[in-house]
Parts: sequence; structure tokens; C-alpha cells
Amino acid sequence: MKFFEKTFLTALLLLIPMVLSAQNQDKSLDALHVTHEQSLHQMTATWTNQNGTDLQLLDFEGQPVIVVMFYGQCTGSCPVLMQRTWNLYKELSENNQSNVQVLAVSFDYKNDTPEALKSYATYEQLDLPNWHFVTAKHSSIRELAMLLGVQYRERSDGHFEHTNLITVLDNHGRITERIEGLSGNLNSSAQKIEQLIIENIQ
Amino acid sequence: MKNLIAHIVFILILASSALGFSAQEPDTVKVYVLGTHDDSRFQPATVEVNTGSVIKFMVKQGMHTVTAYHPDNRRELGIPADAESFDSGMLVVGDAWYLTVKIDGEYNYFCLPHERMGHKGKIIARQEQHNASSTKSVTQQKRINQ
Repeated sequence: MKFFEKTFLTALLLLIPMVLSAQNQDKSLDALHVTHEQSLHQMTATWTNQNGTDLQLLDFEGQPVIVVMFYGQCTGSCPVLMQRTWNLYKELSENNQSNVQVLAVSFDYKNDTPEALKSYATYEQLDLPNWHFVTAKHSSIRELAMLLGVQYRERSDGHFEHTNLITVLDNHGRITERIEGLSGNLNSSAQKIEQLIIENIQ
Repeated sequence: MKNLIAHIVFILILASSALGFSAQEPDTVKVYVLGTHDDSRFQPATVEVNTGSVIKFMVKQGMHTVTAYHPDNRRELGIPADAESFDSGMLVVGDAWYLTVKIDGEYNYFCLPHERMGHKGKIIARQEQHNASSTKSVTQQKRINQ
């Protein structure tokens, strides 16, 4: 047999068991490793909001959640991103606004304490019962960003560079809508949220 | 026949000139948007215009918004009660954003990212003559320079 054919057969004999082995590996997910098809409610992280109340994403089971990542000292895109989040919320009927939760997660685990977040929410007139400005351990913030697909990095001056994203989780914590950037019509996203609310009621 | 054509052309020229003189274009006032951080400012910060004027905001530095003080923008009302709220969205260098003020009064506005650094402006709109106020409010248009 020619050398090439021998080599090919050898490789095939080595690869087949490897492939079969990979297929038979346990597919269960580690609790910290969820994909976009999985519910973010599986996250065990504890978030503390502007009122000092601890919560977990699982607490929002049964309601859609609008998630946005920002930081309080931002003088760049965050205020515009927060305005878009507010505009999305405003697109909902007044009745539906009370059936959705808004989770605003700060990148700045050092400075955005619950007290600082309270001050921020008050200034922005967003200290509403269903708006949660939260902080958590650095690792939890990083994990959530990864799951949402938000890229960010802390600069040496304490500010953050970050992508701008508003995410909608469905009633069971799965990502159902991703609104990227700082412009664009929010009407279809609002309609999606209202549909989720209807599904929850039915 | 030639004389007839000449007369018709002459009358048409006169008519178009008359229309041109009677249809006044609104004034356009330029406001430059400058700065990148705590030096952010509208220049001039206060403009006095005739009602119906167009204010052209031209971003020369940084990233800014032109946002009305209005409950729609989560702020106390700072524009005439009958005027529509406005919010340009994020504007970057090279962008131009147009605002037409059609109701008399004072329009207070700010830049969302730099409000706490004092990045605010004011438009004072007054009727040039004592005509009935328009019931229409503000129209807005954004044009991005490419």
C-alpha cells in the first residue's frame, strides 16, 4: 500500500474513536454556562438595586425584562442609551408598563453603589417601582455581559468603553430581542414586549 | 406670433418674480455644538429668533444631543406648553440637526451626555409682527453630512 494511503487509514482509525467519544460526552450545562437558547434565570448571581434590595433574575419569572448595561459617570453614550430604554418603555401602553421589568446593570462595580444608583435614578426620574438599577460582584457583571453579548472594558481613568445594547428577555429569561446601537425605530420591539405580556396573561 | 410669445414669457417672468418676493424663506440661525467633555457648549448658548425660524445645530466636536426640557425627556417643562418635545438623538461630528420653532416662547434644551456639566441652551422665539399664533408646534429634521 502506498505511504499516503497508509497514513490516511491510520488517521481515520485514530479519528473515528475521538469523534464517537465526543458525541457521547455529557451534554448537561454547568450552572454558570448558559447559551442564548437557555434562560438567563439560571444565573445564580445576586444583584442589589438602588433601594438596597437583593434580587436574582429568577425573581422576574413570568414577566418580560428589558436589560441595559451602563454606568453612572458615563458622559458618552450611556445617557442616550438610557433615553432609548425609556423610549422603549414609553412605547408600551400604561397598563403594559406595569407588567414589564427594567434591569439597568452598572459596569462600575466600584463607584455605582446602591446609594449612587439611587441618586442616579432619582436625577433621571427613573426611580420607578419596576426599574432596577443594580450592582453586583465584578464577576457577575462580567458574566452577564458575556451572556448578553455586551463587550466592555475599564479604562485607566475609571471610565468604560462598551457596546450599546438593549436586550429583551422573554417571560422565562430567554433572549428574545437585541436592540443594538443608539438609533432606530423601537416600535417593533415594543410590540414584541406587548405580545409577551399578552402570552403571560393568557 | 413672436410678439405674443414674447409677451407671454415676459408675463411669466414677472409672475414668478412676484411669487419669489412674496414667499419669504424662514430665517436660519446656526448654533454650533462644541466640546468633548466639561468644555461642551452650544455656541451661541442663547439665540433670539423670529417665530418660524429654523435653528441649524452643527456638531463640530464630540458627541451630543439637542434635547428639550420636557417631561417626555424626564425633565421639568422648559418649552412652551403647546410645543412638542424634541430630542435629536446622538449627533456626532459633521452632523447637522434642524429645529423649527413655530410657537412664541422660550425653549430650554440640553445635551443628554453633558447636562451635568452645564451643556444647556435656550431659544427665544418671538413673532416679528402681531399675527395670530400658529397652532402648530415644532418640526424637526435631521440631516447627516456624509
